[in-house]
Amino acid sequence: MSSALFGILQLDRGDPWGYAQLLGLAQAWLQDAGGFAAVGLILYLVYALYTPTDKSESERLRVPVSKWMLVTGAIALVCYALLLALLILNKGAPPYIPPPQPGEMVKIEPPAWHNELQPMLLMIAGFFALLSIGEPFARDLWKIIKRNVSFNSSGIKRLSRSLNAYSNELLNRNRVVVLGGAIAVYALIGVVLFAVGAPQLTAIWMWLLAVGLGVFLAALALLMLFEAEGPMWAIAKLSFKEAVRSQLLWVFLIFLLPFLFPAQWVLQIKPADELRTTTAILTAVLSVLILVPAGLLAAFGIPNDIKYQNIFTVVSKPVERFEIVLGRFVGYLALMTLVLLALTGVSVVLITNTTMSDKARDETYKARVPHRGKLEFKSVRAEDRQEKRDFDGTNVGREFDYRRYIAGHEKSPQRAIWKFASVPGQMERPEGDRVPVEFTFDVFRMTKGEADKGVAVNFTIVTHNSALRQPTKDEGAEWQWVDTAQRDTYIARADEYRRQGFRIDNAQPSDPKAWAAANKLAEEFGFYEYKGKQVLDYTVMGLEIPAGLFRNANKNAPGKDEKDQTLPRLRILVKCESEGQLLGMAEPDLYLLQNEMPYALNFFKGMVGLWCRLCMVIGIAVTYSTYLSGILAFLATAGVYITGFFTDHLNDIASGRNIGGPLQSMSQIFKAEQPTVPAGDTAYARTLMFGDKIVAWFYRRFQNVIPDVDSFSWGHFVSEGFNINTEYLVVNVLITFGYLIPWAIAGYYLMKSREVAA
Amino acid sequence: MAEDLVVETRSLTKVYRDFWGRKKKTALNALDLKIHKGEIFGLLGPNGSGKTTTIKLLLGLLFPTSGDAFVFGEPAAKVEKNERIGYLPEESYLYRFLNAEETLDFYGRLFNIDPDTRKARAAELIERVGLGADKKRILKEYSKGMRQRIGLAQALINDPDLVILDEPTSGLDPLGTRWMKDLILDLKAKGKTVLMCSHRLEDVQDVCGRIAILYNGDLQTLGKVSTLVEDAQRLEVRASNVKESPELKADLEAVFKKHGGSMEAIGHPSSTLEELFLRVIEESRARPGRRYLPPEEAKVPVYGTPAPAGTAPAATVPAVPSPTAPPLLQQKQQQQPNQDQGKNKKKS
Repeated sequence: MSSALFGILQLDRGDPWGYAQLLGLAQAWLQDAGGFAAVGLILYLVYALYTPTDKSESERLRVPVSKWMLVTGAIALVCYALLLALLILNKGAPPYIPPPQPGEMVKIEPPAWHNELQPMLLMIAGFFALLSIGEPFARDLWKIIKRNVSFNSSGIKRLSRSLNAYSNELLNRNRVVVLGGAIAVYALIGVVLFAVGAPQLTAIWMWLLAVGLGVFLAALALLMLFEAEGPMWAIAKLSFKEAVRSQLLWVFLIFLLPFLFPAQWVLQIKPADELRTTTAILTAVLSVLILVPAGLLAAFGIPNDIKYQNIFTVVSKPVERFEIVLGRFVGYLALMTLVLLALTGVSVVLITNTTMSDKARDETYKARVPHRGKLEFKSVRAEDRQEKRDFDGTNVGREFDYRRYIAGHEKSPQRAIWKFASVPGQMERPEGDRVPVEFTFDVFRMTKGEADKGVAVNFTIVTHNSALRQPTKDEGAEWQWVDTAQRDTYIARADEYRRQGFRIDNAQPSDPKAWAAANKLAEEFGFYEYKGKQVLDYTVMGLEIPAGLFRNANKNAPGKDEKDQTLPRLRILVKCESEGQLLGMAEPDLYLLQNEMPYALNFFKGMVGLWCRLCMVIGIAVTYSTYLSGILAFLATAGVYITGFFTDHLNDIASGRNIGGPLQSMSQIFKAEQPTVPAGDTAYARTLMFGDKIVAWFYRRFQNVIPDVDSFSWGHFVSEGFNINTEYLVVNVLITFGYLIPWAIAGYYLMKSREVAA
Repeated sequence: MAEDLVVETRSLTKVYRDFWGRKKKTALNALDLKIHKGEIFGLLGPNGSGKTTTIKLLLGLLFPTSGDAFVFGEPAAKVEKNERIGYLPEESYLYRFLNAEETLDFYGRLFNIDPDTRKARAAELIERVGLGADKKRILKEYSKGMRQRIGLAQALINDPDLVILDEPTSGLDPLGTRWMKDLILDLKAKGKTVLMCSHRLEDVQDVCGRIAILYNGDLQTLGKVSTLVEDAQRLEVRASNVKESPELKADLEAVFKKHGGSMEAIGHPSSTLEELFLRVIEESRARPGRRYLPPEEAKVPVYGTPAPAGTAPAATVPAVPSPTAPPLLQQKQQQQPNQDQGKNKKKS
């Protein structure tokens, strides 16, 4: 297992989405879901045309085509027609963002609202298509909600009566005996542990008791929710019971046991990686143990009902078909959420109570709240360079490495610069008047260097109030103060401190006097420098910055630079001093440490990502199961989910970023050609390329069906010790529900059109 | 639609097709049917004649290829109509991991019956179908007959106005069959409408007022059972306390000849095997330990209490109807002249 690689965090694919992206997300959702709705609408109308709705009242009721559907469908059609015209005329298109060149990192642009005519028309068309196809769905859903959710006094009365009946039922004699026995045994274990004097085991015992109680109460709350009146809850409870009473779930859970032991017990791991590895393994195992049984249960639920004809006795009751689908979804989701909660609780208890090395504790037993900046590389100015273009870091030729490198030398003009457009107010008065900066760099050695020593790196941190500028060719390698008078004053003031005996150079909080002086200087001039920091390869390292610098950064409004761009409030310039060494970095590799949260809470937050995937798997499986057999529904769900791991590759094919495509690849395989050999300009090659373009078109249409599974895998954040912020969490939960709505509509129509007794 | 019309089908047709839409079979062809409130209606026909398809179309489990079906005046596709329907499928397809109480609770909740009523009704139905002692056992452990009983209970959980029974006596022993038939008659007595399909003709004849006979998806016959089975060309005469003799036969022949007919047969009436079975079981219940003994062991009687070795054979038990005979048996015995016209032709 490799060491810390902040770059592998999800952030490498772009900034985490927040509330600012919600509007753009909504527009994109309307466009995509609306497109599928339009296709669905056409299919539905064709189906209605072939159904004898004119002769049969029953069929008219079953396959309704209302005026609303026709009118909204017609508006959608007109919008799509206008859009087609605009596409042909090439008018009103959003700004074109060319796909990255082959070999370049893919960076997904965060969704943004587009006011241009084409995206707006696409959105409006999608909106009306959704209104059209969604009308019967919404009508039936409202009926279901009315039957299953009751907020008035009679509903509450019924619920409380159910709760009473349920609790009476729950505490029957047998259960009380079993529960009492289990509690007695557990209490006995606790007493023995306490008497023997094993504090760590006693702590585990207590925490497990807390987790058990928590899960028990959650289960009770859920079961009582299912006691609420309504067929949907009855079916949910049935699904819950069915899953609990089948052995499938328990067989899977047994597999978890070996993975609950700390990874260092069975694997040889560097001390710093102990917790990281254990967390990574546990999150991966939990994903499999939760998602596979959930997929199996959800995929086989309805098909087994149909196969064994249980569904006859359900559909013949006053139950909407979609109520069955919803009931199944809610039941399985509730059960698997409980299982996830229990497993997460047990995992956290064991992780937090297991002995780990200090290094591991320092690096990863926390949840950092980072404040990130934008990275750019600079060297001598473009006009002074041979290729006459801006320096963007050196590529050292690592195939899957997206880090860029700066060359090390005392006179090296190359810099990696992190720009922070804003500085959170809380950084102005942090504890100890210091703000930590953390970083992990890759050292690419051209020469052997000294054993056990890193490379020397200079950090220059400046605010917009003391702007530095790129040097000209004649000014050498060092960046220059824009205001030279300010520079001279700073030098004079620093010298004065030095004369007074303050060791302000490379001052750190361990020397309080020097630190106070450095803080004053930083607050006054907005400048702080740390020279010769020994940086080790792929190791989490840190630096303290005087908080005064941040007070300075938040003073005044930032001015403009020579390109009339607003200056960032703070910049961190990194320079490598060691000759013959290259220092590699990516944007997530350095950040200001805003805060630190508890690891355990972050572990739970990480599991929300798994919960989102759980919703998706159950939703997709239940939808497929409305029309396919159990095994086919499971395979189709697994297919969609597994393809979700390759969304980057699909994007490449869809955007034509890859040279060639599936057809060309197939041809190369059959003809045993090297994939790197150009296709040539033959009729055959052109035909293949044209075919690949058609395939790409289809990919573009359907790529939104595939969930971006990786973007919901937050295990990296937890194992690397990064906090998952609430905003990111909420947005992703919303995305999950947005993704599930079209599946729900598809499930509604599939179930409604299915002859369960055929 | 007339107010007392419970079920109506209009040219109801169902064609099964394969995946490619090619016609596989016409399961039901233009069925026109009307079932009125309070009647027990039987759908008869051999396997594959379209009985179950008709029921599934009425319940919305299948969609018609053409034509229409209405229940309580509502189209079959409307789920609200199911509020007043109880349905027992051919095999009792219930959730095998639930016990009897849970099963009825589940189905009761599908009808949105309030918890108190649901609980009371479930308890009453469990007792009524005779599963009180087994209500905590999961259905997986039930025999076929027990599953059929709990299936019937779920069909009655909503106190339906229309009860649809698909092969209700399938898998039941004669006792269960009689119990089921009693229950159907009881439903009729309470003003419920019953639609049942079966290919056990004697069951249908015992309980149904009207029947429809389907064959190959086509309606062949429709009408009252008594009218359909009546043989107007023949006459049945019954008598008691008369000894069969050549003189009697000659006299009767002369009488029939005088009225322009001829006598076909004369003899003692026989009961059905079902009646014999029920009688034996009733007697066994009345006298525990009673069992069959071979004639040489029991001397004269066929049935007797086994005697210890060396003792005299048990006293003869007269083969008389049990005083505790259930209503159907009594009813059948009372209604013999009318009801059993078809069965006892040789007695005329």
